[in-house]
Amino acid sequence: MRSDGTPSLGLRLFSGSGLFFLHFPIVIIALYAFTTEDRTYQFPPPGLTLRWFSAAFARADMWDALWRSMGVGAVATLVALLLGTMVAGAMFRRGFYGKDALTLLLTLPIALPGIITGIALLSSIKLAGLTPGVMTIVMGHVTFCIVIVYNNVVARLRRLPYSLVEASLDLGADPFTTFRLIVFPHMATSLLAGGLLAFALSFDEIIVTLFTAGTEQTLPIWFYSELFRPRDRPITNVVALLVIAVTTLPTLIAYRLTRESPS
Amino acid sequence: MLGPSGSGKTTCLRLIAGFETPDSGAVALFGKDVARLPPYERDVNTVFQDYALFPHLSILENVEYGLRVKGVAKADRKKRALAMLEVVRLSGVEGRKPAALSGGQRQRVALARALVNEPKVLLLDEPLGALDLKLREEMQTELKALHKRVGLTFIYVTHDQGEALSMSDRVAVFSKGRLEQIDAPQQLYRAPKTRFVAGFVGSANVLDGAALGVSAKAAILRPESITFSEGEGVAGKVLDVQFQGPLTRIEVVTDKLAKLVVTTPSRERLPAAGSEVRLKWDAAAVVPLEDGA
Amino acid sequence: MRAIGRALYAHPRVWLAVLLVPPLVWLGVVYLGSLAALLAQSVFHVDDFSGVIVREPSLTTYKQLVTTPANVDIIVRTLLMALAVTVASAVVAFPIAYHAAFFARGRAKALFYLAVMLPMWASYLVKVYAWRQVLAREGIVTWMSEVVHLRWLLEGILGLPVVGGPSLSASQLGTFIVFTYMWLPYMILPIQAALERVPPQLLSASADLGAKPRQTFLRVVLPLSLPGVIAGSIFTFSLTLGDYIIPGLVGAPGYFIGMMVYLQQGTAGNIPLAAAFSVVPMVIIGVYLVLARRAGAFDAL
Repeated sequence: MRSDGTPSLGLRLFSGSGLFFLHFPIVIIALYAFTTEDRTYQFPPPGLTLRWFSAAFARADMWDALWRSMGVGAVATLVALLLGTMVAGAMFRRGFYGKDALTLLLTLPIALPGIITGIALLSSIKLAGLTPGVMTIVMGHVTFCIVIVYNNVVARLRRLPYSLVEASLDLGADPFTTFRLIVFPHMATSLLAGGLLAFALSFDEIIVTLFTAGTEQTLPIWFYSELFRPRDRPITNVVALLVIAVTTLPTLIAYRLTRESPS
Repeated sequence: MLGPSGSGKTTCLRLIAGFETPDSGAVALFGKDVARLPPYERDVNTVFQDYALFPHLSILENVEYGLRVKGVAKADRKKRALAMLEVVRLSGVEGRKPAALSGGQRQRVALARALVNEPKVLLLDEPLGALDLKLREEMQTELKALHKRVGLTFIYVTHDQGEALSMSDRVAVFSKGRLEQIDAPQQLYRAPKTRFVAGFVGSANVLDGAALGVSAKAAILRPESITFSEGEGVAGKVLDVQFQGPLTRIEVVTDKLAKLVVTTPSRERLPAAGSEVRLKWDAAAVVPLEDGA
Repeated sequence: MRAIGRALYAHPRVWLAVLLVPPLVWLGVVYLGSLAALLAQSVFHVDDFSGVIVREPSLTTYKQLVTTPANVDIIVRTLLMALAVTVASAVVAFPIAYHAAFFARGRAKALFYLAVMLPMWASYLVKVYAWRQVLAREGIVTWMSEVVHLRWLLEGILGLPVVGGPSLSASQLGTFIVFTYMWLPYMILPIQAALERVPPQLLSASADLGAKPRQTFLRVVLPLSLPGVIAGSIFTFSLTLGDYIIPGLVGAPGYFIGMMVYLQQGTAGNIPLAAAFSVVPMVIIGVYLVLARRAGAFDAL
């Protein structure tokens, strides 16, 4: 480590190539969306074309899966926003009996591998005699979306000085008014960020969804099944680009919303 | 309300404001028991230690907040808020946000925000703690003037006895969750009832009552009420002489009364350490305490 | 309305209960209940003849799990892969985290953070798919190896037993590369957090006491970064142990635990066996978490 505060060339090369390693597959995806060769992954691509875009948009089953993913994402996000905020509201201040256990419970859906969540949900679905379908997909998604929302909202709530709440009460506002005028504005952007991240997570989810979907198809499931088809590969790339856009855009916005601005 | 940290003075204030509920007993405001009432239904307002200004609202919106939640019309509450800002001598900043103001300015906003609601009592929780010395002294004078102008009861919590003595009509001294004494500042100083009050408000020599000739178990003697005499009085030997500017603090050890601390105006000829002296005082300066030594 | 507000204010515990009950019901019933159902299933077994799940608690399925050589093979293979991936990600992640923690300031730091975050949130399937294209026989890696005249090296590696295969995208090596790639951000972030927690005064003190930069690094920075490495390894380990998609898309024939779970619950209909298989990573991760907690990794999360 150099004392003059500049990184050595070696370090810069290492981290630079590491970051490059992180990003270049995505560039490749974009590249292959334009190739004229549709059966292999030949590099360099023999030619470039735009026809795969129109071909992709012509696929009815793709649209079907897309709308289903959007719908599932929207519902799961809304339910998670409600439940996650409620937990955050309970957890951000005093301790209570079982608070530590609850904190642990709130990390499990993300900490345990998706496959365990998936097979567990499927087990109870089967035990309860239900048929897997859109409802069960949503239920699975809500479970870990709650954690995402909770993490965002509780972090923001903890930064709210409680004296602000007391001041509002002192000045004559009852708890509901205090929530409306003081607490909610404070956490509004964290709600938005949590919701966006939850949506992105739900939209892209495959590991648990494969267990809970039954015969229904979300976009990732559609994508997965396409991967085993030998034809029309660039269509998959086009859809992949679409998915990247839909999942990274909310992430970017959420990041900007929760970034602590220097005061 | 005066007392060291943890003495219960802030808790007492919060009981009056409504942020704590008593386990037993009543909180009577003008005769009515408000212990079960939440803070937003009491006719009392608080100035918080960290000012608690709402960061997302402008100064004007902060000050008129209390009026707004009570349903006062927009034009009316704006007028009253602006007027109150003038009273605390902070006009011209109503459009800004709290983050743009200095500590002293935020203080005044907090005052205005509380006073505009015309509460029966104004509670202040160590409001000057965050200010530097000079600003603090300025604000003390201003608060006294404000108090006179507005004419409400102010209940002021502090751990600084100088502040309490100089600003108050009456002082309540707290220690370890108990109220030791409520009196006017001079009374508190001249006639402390307990050992704690005697030691917290000014300094005191706490002595055995019998040795001083009073019927109480203990009594105090203020250092400045002891003088050196030529012939009569209690005999003693000077232990230490500390020059403290206008006053000098002298520790004297006696056989009858153990160690006595004397403060005397600094003069040229003061007893030197190690010398033999005689001490005397007025009988009226001996104040018996109500609790034991 | 006022009365409700007043009542809730006077009894904060009631309010707490109101806030907690719906989410707890969900998490408790849907999630915990499912986990319980999973464990329950693992002590049932499938009748060999009828193929029906017999709902009587027994250890038949677990016995089946540990006595069948093929099953043990699968578990060992998955474990080894998880270990290899963890080590590799730590090695690749460390310089990046180090650079970001010590040398990036202000805007550069935000960019670094974004550069790591965005791929992390980019679609999982898309990333795996991208690698399949990159590693394909006719893909970019082959092309690059030809450009730098190292094609023979590539073929040589592919010829190795166990690790190699007909092409990178059909070999264990390929699986390894993809796993390492996917979990890299999960390793970078905790390490960076741990490194940022190192007070700079420690480094000055070390230099002041006469240590050369390399010694400072080995004796001060590295040990202090360990909780971060362990925290990151929790992710890489558990994610690799449970994954079933990546080995299926990029890799040699040969099952991993995750794939077995998926297979058994699907066409085979043997949910008890699937459940039993999934208990293995749960136990391993549980033990690992306990050990990690002792090593102080939870503070770095």
